[in-house]
Amino acid sequence: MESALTNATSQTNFGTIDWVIVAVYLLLSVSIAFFVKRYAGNMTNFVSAGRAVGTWLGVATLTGTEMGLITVMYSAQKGFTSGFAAFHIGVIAGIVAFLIGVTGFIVVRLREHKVLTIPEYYEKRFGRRTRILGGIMLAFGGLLNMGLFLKVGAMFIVGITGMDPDGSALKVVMVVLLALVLVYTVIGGMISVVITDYIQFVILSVGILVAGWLAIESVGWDNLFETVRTHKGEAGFNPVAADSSFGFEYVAWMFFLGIVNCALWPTAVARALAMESTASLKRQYTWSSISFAIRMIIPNLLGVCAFVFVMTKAPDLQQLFSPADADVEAVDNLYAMPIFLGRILPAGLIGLITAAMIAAFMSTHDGYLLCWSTVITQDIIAPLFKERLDNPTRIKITRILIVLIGLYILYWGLFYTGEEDIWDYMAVTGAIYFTGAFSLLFGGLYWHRASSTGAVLALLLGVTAVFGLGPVQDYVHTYIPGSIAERNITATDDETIEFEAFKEPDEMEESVFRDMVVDFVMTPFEQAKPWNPDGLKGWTAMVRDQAGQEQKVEVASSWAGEATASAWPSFEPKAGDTVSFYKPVSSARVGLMTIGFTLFVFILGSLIFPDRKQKEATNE
Amino acid sequence: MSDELNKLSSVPPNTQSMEPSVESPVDPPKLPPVLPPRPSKKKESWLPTVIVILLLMAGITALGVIMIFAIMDNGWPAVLRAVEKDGWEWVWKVTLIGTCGLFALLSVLVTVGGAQDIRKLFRRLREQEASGNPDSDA
Repeated sequence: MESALTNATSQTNFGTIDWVIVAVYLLLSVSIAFFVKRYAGNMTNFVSAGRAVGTWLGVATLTGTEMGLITVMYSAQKGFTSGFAAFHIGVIAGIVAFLIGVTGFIVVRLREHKVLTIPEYYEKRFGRRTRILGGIMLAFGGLLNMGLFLKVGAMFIVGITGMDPDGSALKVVMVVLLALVLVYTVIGGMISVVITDYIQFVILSVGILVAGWLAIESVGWDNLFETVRTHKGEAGFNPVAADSSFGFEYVAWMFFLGIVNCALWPTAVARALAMESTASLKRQYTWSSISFAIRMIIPNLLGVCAFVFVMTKAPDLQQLFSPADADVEAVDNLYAMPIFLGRILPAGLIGLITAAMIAAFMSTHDGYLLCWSTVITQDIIAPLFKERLDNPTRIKITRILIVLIGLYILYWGLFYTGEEDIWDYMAVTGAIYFTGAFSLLFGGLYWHRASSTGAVLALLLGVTAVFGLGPVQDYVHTYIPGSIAERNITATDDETIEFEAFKEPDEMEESVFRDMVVDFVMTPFEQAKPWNPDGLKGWTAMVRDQAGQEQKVEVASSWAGEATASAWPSFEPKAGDTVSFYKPVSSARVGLMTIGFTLFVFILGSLIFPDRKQKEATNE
Repeated sequence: MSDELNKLSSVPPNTQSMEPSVESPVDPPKLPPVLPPRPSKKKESWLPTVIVILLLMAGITALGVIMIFAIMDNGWPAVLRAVEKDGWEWVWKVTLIGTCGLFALLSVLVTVGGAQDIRKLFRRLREQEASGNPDSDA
């Protein structure tokens, strides 16, 4: 299978002229950092470009940061797996950004406070301990969130250039890209970041539009829609269709993520805080709403086109990504879009597109590296020194942290082997920070009774978002409400395991408490009726052998005393082993529950434990 | 940290009186420093608002024209049946074409406006460097 992937990537049109284009672009980026170095001497210039960024440059830098290669890759993956229905994510993101631009929700008030980071605002509003805790939560969630950026970006470059994905090419690309980003972020700070973001915007906007056009042309406009309809049915278009992988809950989650991406996510907020005035800031968001939509929609389109190409024009790729034989493991579909582009784009243009994508990759990394290092310096280290650090020391610490974070993402990319969907991984890790941050910013800026105790409680509870991650749910599955406790396997037959039969419980007496409280609390968690035929279908069975080894598998069919899987991934169960059942809770549901919970605790904590001296909700 | 910077920036840039000093046996009461006249606030550009309104109007008009032609050609029942059957498909087609068109326009505006902003950014950074005030705010 690995050699088939190598064979698939090697059929690219990427040539020498394309390498020249990419090299010229990279040299240009690094030379800009040296050119602007003399202006990056103080912290405000280094972090916020002297708060002197105009509207159009603001739009370019916001787009440059938010339209990263990671976004292109996971959006293309969503398009590949879900068809046009994935467009709703971009549309919602655009609408939310537009509304924030018109109203100035959160961002304008933050800008009026003239803070450099969000936790700095926490200190102004809630005190120093909240700032330090907020900084730690932000850095923790943020660093986990960007952990896979480097690897996924390198996968794109390997896929489109035709390097050998099975050799050491991936690692080499990761190291080279990281080194380039580190050089110009460490040297030039935010000034070099906004200028390179501008150049990257110009290349990226041309590149992505041309790529979209050529992608449609390669598969045909009518064929594009027809193939999606044939293979995915209504779910390929309607995000709330009965058999859709999204649903209303997911759409609601996307609305909240839209607010997060614009008004809470520190890299976007850093751009807002660098604007020359609040009027420019509002214009920046209003115009950037187009970018917020397009950054998802065109990559979605590239993913849909890649799907249609695989299904109708490239039988070798179909065998790779959607093998007919159930025993053959499919290749990671993240490779589908770059391989597709490598085959359809002509030489020269493919170099431009690759430069544009590397631009997207670098502009995201520089923004994130600068953002997280600033948060650690300003909001964790400096407050611990009681603000005794001078400007040169802070810049030095920030630069050291940029390098250390770079090394961490290299390590994470090389050695982390998680199997989660990238978008879910990012949403959940980000939620560790933003579920608490939403309560603090919304409450702090708009509610005068918000208190520091409520703030600390909300920040701490944000950690519960981590339960949205698959491996974490596997670990604590017995505690998930509605899960079925371990029971002994009495016999096995190929893919079927037998155990003591479930019995339907007697009808319980009516109770106001049960109706009002228990049923309400249990609503988000599915309750199985395993005594019914297929009562456990779609649930996850966790089988543990007598040596303690575990494997999980989805139940294909069930009866009162038996359950059948399609195949055992690790080992054949035997009599005497144990099995437990649980229904994984979707990351969207966990995210929405965490938001509601943190907001509730924040309000309750603020009302029960008010601050002795209340601070103003608005600017001081 | 920015608090320190804000404290620095909260000192008005030119606080020295321009009046000649007059010797007096009694110290005159301390008067507030004479500040230079405040620069008048730059008027907001109306162009972006007009462009947004024009774009919205153009989009709504285009959709209206398409609907009118469709109804004239096929009649209401046929259009309603088509929307019911292929509604989402049409939503995404219009979304795709509309957002790509807007993004192309945005790209041109940002390319031109961004270049001017970079010139202004360097000018302001040079001024800040010369005045030694890193946190001047617009």
